[in-house]
Amino acid sequence: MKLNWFSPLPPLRTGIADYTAALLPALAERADVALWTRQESWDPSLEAFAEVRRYEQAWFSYKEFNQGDLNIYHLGNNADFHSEIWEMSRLVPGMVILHDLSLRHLFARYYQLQGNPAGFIGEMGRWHGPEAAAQAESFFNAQIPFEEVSEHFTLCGPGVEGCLGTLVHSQMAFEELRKLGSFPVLLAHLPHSARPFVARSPEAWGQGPFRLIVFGFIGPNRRLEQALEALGGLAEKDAFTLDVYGSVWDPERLLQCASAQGLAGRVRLHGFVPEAELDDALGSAHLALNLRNPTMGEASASQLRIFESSLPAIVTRTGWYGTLPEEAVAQVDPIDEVPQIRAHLASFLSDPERFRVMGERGRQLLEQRHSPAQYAQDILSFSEVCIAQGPREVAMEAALRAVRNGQAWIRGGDVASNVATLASSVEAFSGLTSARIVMGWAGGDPRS
Amino acid sequence: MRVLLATTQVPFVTGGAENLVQELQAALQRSGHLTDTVALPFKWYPAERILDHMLASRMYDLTESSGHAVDLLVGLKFPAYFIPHPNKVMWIMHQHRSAYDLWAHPQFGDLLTWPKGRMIRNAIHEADCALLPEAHRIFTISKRVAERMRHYCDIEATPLYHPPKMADSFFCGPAGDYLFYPSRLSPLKRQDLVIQALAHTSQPVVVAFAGTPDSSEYEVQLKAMAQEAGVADRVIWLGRLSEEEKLDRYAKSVGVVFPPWDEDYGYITLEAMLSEKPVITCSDSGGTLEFVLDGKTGLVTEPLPESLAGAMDLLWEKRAVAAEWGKAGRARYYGLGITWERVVQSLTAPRGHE
Repeated sequence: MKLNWFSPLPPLRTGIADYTAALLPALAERADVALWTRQESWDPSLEAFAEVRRYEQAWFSYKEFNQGDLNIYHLGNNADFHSEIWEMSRLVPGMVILHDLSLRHLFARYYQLQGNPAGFIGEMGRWHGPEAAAQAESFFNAQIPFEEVSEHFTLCGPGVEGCLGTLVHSQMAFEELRKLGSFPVLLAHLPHSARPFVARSPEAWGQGPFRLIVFGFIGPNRRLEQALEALGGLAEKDAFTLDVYGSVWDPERLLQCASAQGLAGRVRLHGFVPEAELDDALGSAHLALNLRNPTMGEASASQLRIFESSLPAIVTRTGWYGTLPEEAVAQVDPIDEVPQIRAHLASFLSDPERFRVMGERGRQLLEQRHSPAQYAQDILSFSEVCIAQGPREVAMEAALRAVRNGQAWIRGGDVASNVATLASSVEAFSGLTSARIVMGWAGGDPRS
Repeated sequence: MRVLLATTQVPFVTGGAENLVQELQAALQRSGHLTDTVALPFKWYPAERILDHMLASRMYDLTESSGHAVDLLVGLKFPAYFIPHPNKVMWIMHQHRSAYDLWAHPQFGDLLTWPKGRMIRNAIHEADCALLPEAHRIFTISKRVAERMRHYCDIEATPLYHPPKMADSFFCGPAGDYLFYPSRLSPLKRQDLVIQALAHTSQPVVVAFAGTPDSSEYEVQLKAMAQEAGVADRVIWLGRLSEEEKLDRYAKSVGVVFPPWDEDYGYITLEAMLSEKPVITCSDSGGTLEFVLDGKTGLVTEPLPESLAGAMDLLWEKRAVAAEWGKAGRARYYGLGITWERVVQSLTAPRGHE
């Protein structure tokens, strides 16, 4: 099988670029892969596994894409990385791998850059109703900040509209996508290529001070202030230090919060560091704070990295995190965060060995569920489904065109009222129906 | 029987397909059947239009007309052959080749240049596989078309040959000084290969092309090519000929050169055989190879200018051999039993009497 793969590529600083690089060896063993990009440069090591092809929106050739069996598009919530990929997905239908359930940041920025706020407002109205459109308009009129636009208005619809199938990594995304359209949806475990396992020494583990760690793009939804409040209320708070790697939305505010909780000097902000340094930091940490509230819904590459380091973590029981087994993570309910975080920290102090074992369970989970080889096979299998969806889609479109033609002379009613005719037309056409194809977890539901 | 022929018509284009339909209708009528033709207009671009035409084909009801049952529907061309009918027979000229053997052709592939080209190709394939077997018998005009159907759709079909137009009128005359290539000027017909071959001949071979171009640009290209190759003085451009002129040109040729790319059938081969003229064709010319016997009724060469040139030189130099092969070609034609009576009998045979 020949796959055209549209994804951000390293060295772009996005987890999806890293995901592609990590998955590529396993994928290339099973299919011919061409990486399509608008980037001027990319990590040359990718070319050991796939041909990298540049395309320009203005003059690419459909002939080139149609030589492959399927186009696969990676969509996330960042317009800088995904706008052009989304545009291509609209031209040549294919499989969409949705890395973020919410794409509203992507489309807000996309339409903003186009100088077309009405486009965004229109899409919000089309997919989420007048209230969503009103909020979008208020945002563009600078009446409300974007964070006040309800997170329920995910605007994932335009990202997958017209696709041949969507692959997602969380139950939440799966449920949401099922409601949207007549395309197949597959749930698969996000892959992670793990370095060799290094067990943590039980003897060294039990000795403080105990290092808490958090990393990535740290916004308010990472609940760091709440974690500091929990830690500050712990009698043995001096048993912990906190290392923050990556970017923080308001470093001053965070440090002031730490001071207010009596944690001055125990919280260190490192910024972004080389990957090897972060790996070392994870390797020497005792407990990761990987909270999310609200969540964008999708599986967490950062959590997989935490598992890779056999590091226990405190997570929020929401979205994908809520599907993780209790023996692999310490869960916190969104409505009762501070006390529950505090309880987990206290529990760590009373039984650090339990948390060390939790870290090992997380590592085992990673190896069992998140293998790139299995994920690559899932993509291949799902590609067959998506390819088969193609004729159904064009048949439906032809039938819809027939009905719309009828609208020219059928008085009254609208296309929706002619659905019965439409269905019989499609069935008469090829015996195919527009039945929704919904798939479950690749490999079986892990919760069963 | 009341027989309807279901075919497809590209407006303003008339060619071998249209001739076949007329001849078939006449043959059926000679056999006492009441016959008519339904020709659905066809446009293949944008590619989505193909799906519309397929859908439209499925929506026709030709089970009866003016209160009288239509006893038999003969499906001839895509997508008209999708028209449903309880008693349907296929006699297929060709499937939609852009979705099959021409899909990835560097020069002739057009469906894959469309955004949804692959999806539409797959839809055409699914429809052919699902709907062609609705017919209780599937014939094709040649083995080549049947081979493609088996290869791409895993559907078995029986080749059923038919005579070219005016088959009884072809005759043989004394050979003049030209090889004849009567066909529309088209990249698929590879007149350019013949011109390139002329540049490699050692004999003063002359080729007379007869036919109208698919596009004026292509004709200009060919003429420029002949000029550049230094063979313009050995190429005769006859343009469109009347039927009588064509018969005469066949009759007075040394032989016929016909090296198309993967032809479905190849009337020209049969016309040459009826005119007692040998045929030069190529190993990838498709339908022509069902008739031309290499070294007996003509020559089959590699599709390379040098190889074609060698064959042209041979016919040019050895006129007696050419004449002998021509006679053998005519005998072969009659030996194959290619008649309209046989076509009509095969298409109208009752179910279970195949």
